[in-house]
Amino acid sequence: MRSDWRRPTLAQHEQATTVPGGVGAGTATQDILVLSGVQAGYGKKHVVFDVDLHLRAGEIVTMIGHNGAGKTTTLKTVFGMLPAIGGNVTYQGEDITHSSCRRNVLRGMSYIPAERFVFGELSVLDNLRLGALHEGSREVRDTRREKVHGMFPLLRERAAQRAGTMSGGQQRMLSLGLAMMAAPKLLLLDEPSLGLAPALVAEIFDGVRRLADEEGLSVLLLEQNVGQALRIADRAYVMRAGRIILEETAEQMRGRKDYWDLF
Amino acid sequence: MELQISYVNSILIFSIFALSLNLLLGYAGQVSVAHAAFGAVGGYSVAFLFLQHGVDLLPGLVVGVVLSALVGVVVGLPALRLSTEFLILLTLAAQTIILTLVTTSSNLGGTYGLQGVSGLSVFGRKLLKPSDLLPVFLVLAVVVYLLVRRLGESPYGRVLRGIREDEVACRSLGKNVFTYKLTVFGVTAAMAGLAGGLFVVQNGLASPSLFSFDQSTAIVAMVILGGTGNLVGSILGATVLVLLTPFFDSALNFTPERAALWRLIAYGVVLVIVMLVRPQGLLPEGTTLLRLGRRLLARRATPAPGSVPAMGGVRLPQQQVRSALVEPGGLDLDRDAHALTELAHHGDLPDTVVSTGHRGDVVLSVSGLSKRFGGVVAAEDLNMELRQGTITALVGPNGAGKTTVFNLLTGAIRPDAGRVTLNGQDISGLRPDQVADKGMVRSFQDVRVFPRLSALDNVILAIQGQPGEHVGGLFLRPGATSRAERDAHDKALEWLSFVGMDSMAGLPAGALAFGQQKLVALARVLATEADVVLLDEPASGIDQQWVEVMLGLIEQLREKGRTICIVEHNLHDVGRLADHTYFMELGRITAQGSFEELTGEKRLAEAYFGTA
Repeated sequence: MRSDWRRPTLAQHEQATTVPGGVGAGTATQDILVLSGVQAGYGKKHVVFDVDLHLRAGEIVTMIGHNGAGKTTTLKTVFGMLPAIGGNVTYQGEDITHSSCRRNVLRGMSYIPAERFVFGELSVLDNLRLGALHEGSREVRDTRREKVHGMFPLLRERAAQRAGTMSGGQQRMLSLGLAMMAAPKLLLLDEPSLGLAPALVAEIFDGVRRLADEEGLSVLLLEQNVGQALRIADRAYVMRAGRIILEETAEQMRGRKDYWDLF
Repeated sequence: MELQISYVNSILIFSIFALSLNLLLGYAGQVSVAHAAFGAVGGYSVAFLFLQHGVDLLPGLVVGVVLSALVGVVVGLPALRLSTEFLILLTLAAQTIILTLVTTSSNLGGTYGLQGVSGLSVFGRKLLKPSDLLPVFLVLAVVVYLLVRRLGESPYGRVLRGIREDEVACRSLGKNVFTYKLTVFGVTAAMAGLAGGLFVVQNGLASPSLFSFDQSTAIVAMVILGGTGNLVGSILGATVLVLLTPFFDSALNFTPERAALWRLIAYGVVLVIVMLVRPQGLLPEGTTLLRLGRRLLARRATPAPGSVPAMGGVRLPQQQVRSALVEPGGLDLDRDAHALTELAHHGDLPDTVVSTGHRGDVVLSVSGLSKRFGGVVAAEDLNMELRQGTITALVGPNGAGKTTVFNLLTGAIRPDAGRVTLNGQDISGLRPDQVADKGMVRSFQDVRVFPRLSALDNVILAIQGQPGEHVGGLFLRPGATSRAERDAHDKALEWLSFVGMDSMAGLPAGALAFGQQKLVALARVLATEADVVLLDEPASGIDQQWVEVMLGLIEQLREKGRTICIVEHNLHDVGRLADHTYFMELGRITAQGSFEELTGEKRLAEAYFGTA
């Protein structure tokens, strides 16, 4: 049941995208993540309908849409927190539709939920340590921590502080750092700008862009701060009422005066 | 026949125990493993008064009930500030202490207890056989059921559930959480005392083994088995566990010793299975037997849902609300949509009190406010003013102490020094609920909706002055209570429609998407109709289109003369709304003025606003 109105402009911009949903050709052109016909929801209630989406290595793709459009649900389904009701999720050519979160993390995914997510009773340092728990080599762990500290110097200064006593925005920083400690290949980011000071938002987004450019990190970014998201993204999907209604390059989307009307 | 009737009597007694514990555990979220001990207070009172002074059953019960209520309040006092795990320990200690006192006290017969409690009479009728006891027990059990129902399924019960879900948020809406916890401890202990009295009469003696820790855990098991927050479930749970005894005794023909052992094993197995298969209990909160039966029948009638779902798109919101309200599992997080894919439209600002006073008058003034946590300066010598009918913004880097200011103003944190004056009254040192009463409320950065309450109930809880929220009003002014309840319902719907969330009114707030929860939280804060509203990042996480709408709503409130203080990082929003802006760094206010003046300052632009 694919209706034609869903992607008015997709056909015109084929050159900007690879063929989505393919296991064969699609993955050969380095699609790290492919969703085809994904349906998801909670119990009997459907929230996400027939979502096709793909993401290449080193690419930042943003999903935008109104509150309750199903963006977070899609992200949780990719990560394995919610079972898909239908469709397939393919990661690096492997079908991971029914894979567990734990296995997905070991495959190189990190998910940062929109709600604050830190271990409040533990110190900042211990939080970061937990992020790299499955990494055996001490040296690797230390290098990663250096890198995270480079991105968020505050986390070095506050290493001994109990995470729960930091301010809301600082805890957001820590949760980002925690995810980066796993050195993910695919980062699933749910509203990273939430509660952060504007200068810091710009800084963090620049940092994410740098990681994508320099280390080939792929990012699926959900953001209500659409301006910032489009600034660093390569492509954008617009989601509305549980369906993807538009896919464009970020450049095209930035050029639109009316993208609010899509919501 | 008499044997069967005695089982019915047991069921009635344990139903009273379970109902009272359910009010405490299922509604108010307070655990007690001392319920059998509360029962002991009632039971020993009846036995002692009868044996020593020849006091009859009813007056004996009255004394027992009063005494156990007192014991309940005494146990409840230290429990006020405890989290669940410590509450279990505390009530466990209470259970042990009470039982030890009873066992060691020479007047109470030691381990053997007080024997020969038989031949009591009610209204001149001697109670000798189980069939004599049955009508008395039945009447009392029905009374307790009605009482618990009135307390639980009412504005009072809604506050209890609010406390269960989030004490901090409840307090911020003006509820005196301490009083509620104390009354509910007292009331439920009293009912346990009543059940204890009946238990003694049924057994013809009061002994420590009747009220052991095992009994307390059995009562907890009944509540959990039946479903916390469901009163019929408690009766069901009591019935199932009480009937295990005759089941092992007669059906399986076990010897009493063997039956006792198997009963314990069966308790354990039943509980583990319930926890695994149906953690919300046999009858989950909000379900009735009738609806459960109907749903089971419906399930049998229709084939299991296939793997390919219907693609009929999204249901109309109106239908969703109705089904969520009407369907039994209306409050079932698993079944309901997590993020309803609906576009919202907002309604008009509800009729609301127009604040008195003149625009520009100082409503809130803060002087020399300071707070340190250990060596960390959270707030240092803060001086600020909020003026009537204006919007004041508080901006600054993360960790500057903006949320701490809200915590200090509303009494969530006690300041080390300084004064907060609201409408000329010194409110420093007041509790959050007192501050809310004086007319200042705040929203939370991390939303803090009551997840298992419907969006509508979330907002109704914020509506002030409901007589049914207090035990007195609930029973003494039933008319006013139900009138106020209808009004609160309508008003809350208006506020929900004001933020565009009326179509989701019946859904549990925890099932909504993050942005939708924020809107419900906004409606909740506004529904308090407080003069001064402190909003902590109201726009973050909300889609831009709605942010525009919301900014419009906040401006409308300003028109009504409300005084608003807002913490927000979105500079566009702050620029549009703020009449006056304070800039905070490291716990201090380092600059103030109009938003344009602040963004014009080079140093602040670099430190905070960025170049964007």
